Amino acid sequence: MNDKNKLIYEISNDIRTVAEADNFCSEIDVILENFYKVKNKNLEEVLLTSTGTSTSTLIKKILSDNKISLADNASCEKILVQTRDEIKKMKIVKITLAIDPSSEIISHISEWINQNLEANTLLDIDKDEEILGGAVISINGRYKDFSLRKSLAEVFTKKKNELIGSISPK
Amino acid sequence: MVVSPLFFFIIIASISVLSIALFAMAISYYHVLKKMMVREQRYDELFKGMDEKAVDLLENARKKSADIIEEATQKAQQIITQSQSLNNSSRKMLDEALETLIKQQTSHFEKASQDFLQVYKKELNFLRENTVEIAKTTSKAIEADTLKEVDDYEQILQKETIGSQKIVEEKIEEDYAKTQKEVSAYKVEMLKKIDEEIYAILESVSKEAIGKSIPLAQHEQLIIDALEKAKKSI
Repeated sequence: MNDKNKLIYEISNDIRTVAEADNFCSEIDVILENFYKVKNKNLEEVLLTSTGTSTSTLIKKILSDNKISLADNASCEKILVQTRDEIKKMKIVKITLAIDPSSEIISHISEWINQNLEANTLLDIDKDEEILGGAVISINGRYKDFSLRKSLAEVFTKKKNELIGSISPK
Repeated sequence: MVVSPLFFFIIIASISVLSIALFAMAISYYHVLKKMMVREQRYDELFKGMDEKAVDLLENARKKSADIIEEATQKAQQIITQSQSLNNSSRKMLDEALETLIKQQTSHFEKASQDFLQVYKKELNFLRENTVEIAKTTSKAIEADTLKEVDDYEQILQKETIGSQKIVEEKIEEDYAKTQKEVSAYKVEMLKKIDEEIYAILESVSKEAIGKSIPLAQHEQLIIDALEKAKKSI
């Protein structure tokens, strides 16, 4: 695993969806901007004033994992830019669900996709109650409908005559 | 006594001839008189310039001429008188002849009218009787013909009615069969439609029921199942 993949792997548990990634990148942009604006200001102060707790914690974790001191502004800036760029390069798996997934379910799905389908991916989650259950997945330009709606429709199609026969008056 | 029309026309012709002659004489007399007057005038003119002898001669001549004229005048008057008399007698004869003729013709016409009336009455009676007979015969013939035509019409009407009734019955049966067929087809179609609708409703209800009844854990499992399927197919 090279440095870049290692970096992405480190954050993949915390940044699972496109929305989270966009939010995180925006906060990195704010941090970098504050770096340029204020001279002789360390990252600790910038994180306190510019980001939320979770983002601040994640950035500290990245710096710690990469053995970079908060006082080393240049290295900090470098790792932040690198992180932001790598996030923007991540693949996106579009997934449609019938429910609003909990954070736990999102983590579960993200982990499963990164382990079994494609590593270093972000989820673009959409909600459509019409699919009833299951998921409709679009990855690398391929679209697959594994929804309960489709399964049910297939059952109804296969068993149509049988069903009609059972409900028709004798 | 019957006067022949020929005789009547001869009389009229004679009278006409006499009248023409009389008229010619009158004209002649007028010319003579005119000449006399001219001569007298000339005489008067000459008288003035002539001597006594000549006057005497002339007087004598004048007297002679006057006598001649007088004589001619008398003769003319006599002729006129005679012709008038003849004319009167002719007219009288003509009137008498006409009267006789009118009487005869009247009598003849009366007789002829009586005869004609008799014949006319006879013919009229014959015609009336004949007409009555013909009318009776015709009436019977018409009655017979009418009765025959009524019978024929009745028979034709009966046949036509029976025919029409048969056609109507056939048409009704045909329409009934057609309608029955249409109703059956419609029934099948409607049942099929109802089946489809029931099927659609059933599918819709199933979806709704399933969608609402799946617990969150089940949803998660379904998602994982979907991902497992995706893993196999992608």
